[in-house]
Amino acid sequence: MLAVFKREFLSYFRTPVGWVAISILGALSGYCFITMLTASTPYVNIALEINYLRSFFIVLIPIITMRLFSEEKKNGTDVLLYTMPFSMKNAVIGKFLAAIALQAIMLISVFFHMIITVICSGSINSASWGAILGYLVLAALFISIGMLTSALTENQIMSAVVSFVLILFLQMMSTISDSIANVVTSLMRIANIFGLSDSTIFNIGESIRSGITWFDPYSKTSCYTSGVFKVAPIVYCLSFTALFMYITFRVLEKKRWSQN
Amino acid sequence: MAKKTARDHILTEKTVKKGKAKVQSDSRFKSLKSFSILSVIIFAAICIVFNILFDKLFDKTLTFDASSVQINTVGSFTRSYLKSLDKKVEIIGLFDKNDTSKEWYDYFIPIIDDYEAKADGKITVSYIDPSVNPFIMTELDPNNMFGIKADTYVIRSGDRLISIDPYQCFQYDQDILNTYGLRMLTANDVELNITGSIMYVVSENPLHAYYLTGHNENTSHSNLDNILLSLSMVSQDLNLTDGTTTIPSDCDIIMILQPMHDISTHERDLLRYYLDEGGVVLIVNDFSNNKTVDYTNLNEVTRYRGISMETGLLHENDTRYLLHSDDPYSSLGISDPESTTFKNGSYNTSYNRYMSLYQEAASDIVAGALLTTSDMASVDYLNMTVNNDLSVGTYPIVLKGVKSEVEGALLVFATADFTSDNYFSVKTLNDSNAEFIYNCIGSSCTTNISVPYIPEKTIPNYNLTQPLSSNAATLWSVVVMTLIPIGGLICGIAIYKRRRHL
Amino acid sequence: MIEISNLVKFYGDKKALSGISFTVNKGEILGFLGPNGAGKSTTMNIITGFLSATSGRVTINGYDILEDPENAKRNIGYLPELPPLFLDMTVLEYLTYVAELKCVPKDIRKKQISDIMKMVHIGNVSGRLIHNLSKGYRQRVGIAQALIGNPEVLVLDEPTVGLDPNQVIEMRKLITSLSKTHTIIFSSHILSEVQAICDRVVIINNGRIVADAPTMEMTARLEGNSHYLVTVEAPFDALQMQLRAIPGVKSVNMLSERSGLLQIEVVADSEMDVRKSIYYTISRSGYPILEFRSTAATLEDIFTSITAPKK
Repeated sequence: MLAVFKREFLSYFRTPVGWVAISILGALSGYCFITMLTASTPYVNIALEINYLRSFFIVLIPIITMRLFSEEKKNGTDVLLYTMPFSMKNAVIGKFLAAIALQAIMLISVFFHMIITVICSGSINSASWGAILGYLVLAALFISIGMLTSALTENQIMSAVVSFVLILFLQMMSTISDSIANVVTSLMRIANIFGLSDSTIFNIGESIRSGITWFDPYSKTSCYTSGVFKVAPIVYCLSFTALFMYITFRVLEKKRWSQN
Repeated sequence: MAKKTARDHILTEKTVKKGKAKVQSDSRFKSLKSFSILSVIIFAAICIVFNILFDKLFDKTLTFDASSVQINTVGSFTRSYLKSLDKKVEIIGLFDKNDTSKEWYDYFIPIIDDYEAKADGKITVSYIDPSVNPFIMTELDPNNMFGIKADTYVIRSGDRLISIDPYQCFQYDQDILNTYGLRMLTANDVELNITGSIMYVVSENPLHAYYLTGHNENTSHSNLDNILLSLSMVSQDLNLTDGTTTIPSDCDIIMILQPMHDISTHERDLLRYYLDEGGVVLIVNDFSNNKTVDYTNLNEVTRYRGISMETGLLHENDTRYLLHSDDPYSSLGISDPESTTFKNGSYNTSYNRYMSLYQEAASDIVAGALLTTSDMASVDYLNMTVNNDLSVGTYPIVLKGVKSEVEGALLVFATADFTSDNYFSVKTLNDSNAEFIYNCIGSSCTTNISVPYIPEKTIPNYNLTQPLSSNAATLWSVVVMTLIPIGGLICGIAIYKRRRHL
Repeated sequence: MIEISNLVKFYGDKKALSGISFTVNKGEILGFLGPNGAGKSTTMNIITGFLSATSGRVTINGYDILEDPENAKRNIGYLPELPPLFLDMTVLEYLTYVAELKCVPKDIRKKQISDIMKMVHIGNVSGRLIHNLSKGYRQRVGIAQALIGNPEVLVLDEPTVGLDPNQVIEMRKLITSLSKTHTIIFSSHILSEVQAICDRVVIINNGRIVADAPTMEMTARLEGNSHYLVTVEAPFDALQMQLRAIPGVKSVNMLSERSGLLQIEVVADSEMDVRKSIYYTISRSGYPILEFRSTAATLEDIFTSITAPKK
């Protein structure tokens, strides 16, 4: 596990991938930071900056995760992992840790901004740290999703596109839930077979909406930005991270019993 | 036909072959496969169920407010109050909970959740978007009595209901509001409002305050509204100028805030009658904008309780009591050191109108000062010259007049610093003046004010106290935005190139 | 050491292996011979646990590869057909990574790696990027990878393919030297290679084992016939009649015919030298001989010769 972590992590920096990711995040966070710093009344709210960065998961996570397994499959190096005396679990965990470590390192520019803020006597408070925690937990979830797509295909681009679409879906969950609920309610209104009253239909739509948005990781983790530490969102993100990692493991293990 | 049989034959042969080949070992692969798929399904199911349960059971208890000043958590008074709450209360947010675009959003959702969490199920919180469900408005307020609007909170218990406009629950930076028209939040009165509203809707005898209108009174009094609400008192406007309207029977206090002209004789009579009936009247009349106005009728109301409003501006001569050494009109008011209600001792005042005790009042009238100047004050007249006829001495700033054996009281403030938003938006509701007016009204309108004052929460300020000079800012912009990313890229390319030729 | 029983593998509807069974004993070096597509790589992938079989059982040192994969894999070093190399790593980085994967204790890791690098002669490229290495070096790095952790069994899938003749010779030497300390399964589609190195040969075709015998025995069986290739300007039918008449000639096959130029293969009993007779027969008829040489047996010949007597 440590070996896989070490290799994957170093490989981010042996190839330009890791550097490019750091640069992109550095530029984005820098832009946000400078906008605050040069406002008419200069202020720095790190939590706001982190929140802004969260919307770029959709680009950064696929870049980080697309190569994890698909590249090995394409180059035939996956044989190495399969024929080693360890469980595939270790490879999954090792690679996941490497990706999350890169994510953490990418925040170095934010850390740098924090230092400037402290120098300028700005305020770094629990909300700033909470936002970082929420960011990393969310990153863990998305990395596990990206890793799964990487394990499913041997084409890196394919993997990146699929994880892009999945993260987009999660990002737009509230909009999607709205439209689903609207479609359902309007359908029920038009073809009112059960003879339901308007408010019942509305309630059904409402429960569909809230049922879907319950899964929305973005809104779940937004509480940290205001300095509130909730355990449930962490449990949510990490348990689903574990789930996706387990599915990844099972997908890889498939080779052991697959009949094709 | 023959073809088909041949095909069938091949098929059977194949299956037989396969079946034969699979004899002993195939079950191992099959079981591995079913184990794999089943375990994934079970894991997923456990994951979802566990999270839903965790969310339902522990979300509220495992929420820790680490924000400065506990902005998202109810304070100790509210907590104990919620514990003792014996009625069901509904809090309904009339907006889309997932729409995070509103600036007050973050300050409401978490603390409202906290109310729900701390109330042991007596408070239920729901969010209904009126644009999605237009029925909700008529459902909540069938007779359109409360004027409920979208983007507000409605707090309801039984048939009593109160609507809270989130914008009223904050202090804004007045400079930025006036210069840029932007609402920059500086302090948060959400808890004050919500707790007060809950107390109001569950209260057996809710209190009602009325603001007299029709004389260009100061209508910017949302902070005073908040203070009243924390006394479980709701306020509304009252216009008596048409000559037919009378004072409502549920009225507990009438407030006249900085009128720009005098009241009519009809109003004067109504107010006098109201005082005699045991009502409370609060008059604020400072000496800033209305220097030349003649308040004959209003003065007759105050004199009815032994207080006389004069034309003049108090001048503080004791520099120890000045707020700014160069401004003799902003000074500290001193409360009676014996008073248990006003423990603080001194309060900010400014542009205090000269007031005096009316010597010809009836004998059963007792009037006195709650707050005075130092013993070195004098009075400036309109022409800003010191009036030598009035000796240097102690002058009242806040006065109270009562009639023996009649409930109620008349409160007269010679300054607007206890009621106006102008003052509180700078000093916030945690200022001692807020506590003063709270106690003043509280002790006059109810026999016991058991409710401690709920402090306001200052919103964390992210402003830089030592901002960079514009040159330094440009420098940092270049460093942060270009040098760091380009440095990263160069590192990447350099390492890549070096390794490529290894 | 390695027991393989009744391996069957389907790729969809296509049967790749139909019931392969053999055993490799400790210290043995087994040649696994078969033409391309015969199922060699599939078998090796199944042995090393990279692929699943449709049915059948593989045990290595008593550990079933499916039920106890970790212990089974601990005993195997595997060089797949395409060496599993990370092109973005240097040789040393790569070997260290493999050593870590195989849990080689830290204190002997360095020494083991340098020993192996010496053994396969890649010490001089240890700091180079694998991407920049030639095919021969890459193959050797692949072997080094298989050797790390000192596994008892080495499974080498066509280790000599794509190498130039000198490298092939070196590779064979290397495998021979390794055979002293390891049990080796070694696949190839070149007969002579297997004959040169292996103790035992398993020949596989179309997913079936067609022969399993010690090399000596196999060679003897193969050497029953000699093959000759003749290019001649002649009609096939007439020539065939005449050549068949020569004592010792077993068969005459046409390989190609283009604008009167005929290429034939003559198979004869190796006990008798029929070369002179063939020459005289053809020249007597006045057909010009353009080419006449003896050829080595191809794998196809082996299969025919091995399977023919049984039919």
